[in-house]
Amino acid sequence: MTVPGQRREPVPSALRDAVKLDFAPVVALAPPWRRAFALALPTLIVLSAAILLLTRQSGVANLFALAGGGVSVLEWLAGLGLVWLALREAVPGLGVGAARSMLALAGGVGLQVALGLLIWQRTGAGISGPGALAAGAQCATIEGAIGLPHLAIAIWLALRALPIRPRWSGALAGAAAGLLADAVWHLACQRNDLEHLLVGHFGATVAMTLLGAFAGSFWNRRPSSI
Amino acid sequence: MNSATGESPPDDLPEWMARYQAGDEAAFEEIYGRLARSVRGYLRTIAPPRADVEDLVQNTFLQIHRSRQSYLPGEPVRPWIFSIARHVGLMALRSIGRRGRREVQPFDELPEVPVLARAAGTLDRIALGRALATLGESGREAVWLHHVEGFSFREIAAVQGISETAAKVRAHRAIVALRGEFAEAGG
Repeated sequence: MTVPGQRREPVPSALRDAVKLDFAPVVALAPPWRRAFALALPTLIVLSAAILLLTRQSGVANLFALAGGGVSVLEWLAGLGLVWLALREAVPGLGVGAARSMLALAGGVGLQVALGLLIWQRTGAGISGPGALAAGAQCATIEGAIGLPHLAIAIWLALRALPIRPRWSGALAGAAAGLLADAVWHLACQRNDLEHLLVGHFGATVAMTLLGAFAGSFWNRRPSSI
Repeated sequence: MNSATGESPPDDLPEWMARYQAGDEAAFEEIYGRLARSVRGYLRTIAPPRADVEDLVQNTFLQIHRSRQSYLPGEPVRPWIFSIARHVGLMALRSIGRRGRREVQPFDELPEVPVLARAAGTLDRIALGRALATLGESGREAVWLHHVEGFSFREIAAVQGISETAAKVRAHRAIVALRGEFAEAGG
């Protein structure tokens, strides 16, 4: 803290020279909530269109049987929250820290597991059926295809700031991408057996979380990072 | 703090940051001039003993410059800057290794701030520096930020990435340890 009357330090010449190389005006980043919403908005549009279509075709009463519009909305909200946290975590001085990041991650993926269990219980589906593995792999692949662009954009947005704990930013972005992808694909998938939900759907979220954490670790080891 | 009125001076650092982001070189000079000394003192509390603190200060401000777009207008400036400084310090700790962790940089620049005025009357700087060196890293950091730099616990929490309560607990434990250290030295 500089106290009144204390002489202010001049900028060292080496630092001044280094800084002068790039003194172009910069545009401050938008607040994390706004960037998170922009990232999750396309998913919301697809989700809303799909729910409208399903309700028009089958009636609101059948929403749950059609893999649950409510479930998808909950997952979308959780995904949005996790992207917001990932982007906050990337701004110095705004990060939520490792403990709360861990708690948020557990909450996000826990929500997906809980919703999967609820669907399985309410629909009365069996544990597994023929072709469970192939169907699980198919759903995981499709969720990956939906989620990976979200993950890539979220990580890019995070790296445009200065992630102090990039591993956590990446993990949160990965979990968010998984939840957003599941929010959409969940509506199209007709299988409600537990094995499929855990392996095909939840597994994709876990994989994307790990991928995000790995991408963050990679960034942390880059020599150009501070 | 204004000694005449007891009030803190208005924090116009966010305005200086806005000018800095707009490409005003004088704003960078102003921010450096105001905060370099604080950043140096803080880096001494977290940097490894063999690190060149001047290098770390310059590296911190270079990183601040490179990522100046990440400062969000209107947000407090000091937590943003000290978070970057902390990361620079921890990276230095990681690269140099954890040899001699209990040693700390010499505290030859304890600032003359009102918070320490009473302490300065009874303790000399060397004794205080030695006592700070006996604290754990996180406690030392919390004590420095709160009692020397005048950070609120919310700001400390933002810098350290912990909850406000955890920041209070760290600072309290460190102060208790410091008291014990001085009692031992005095008795």
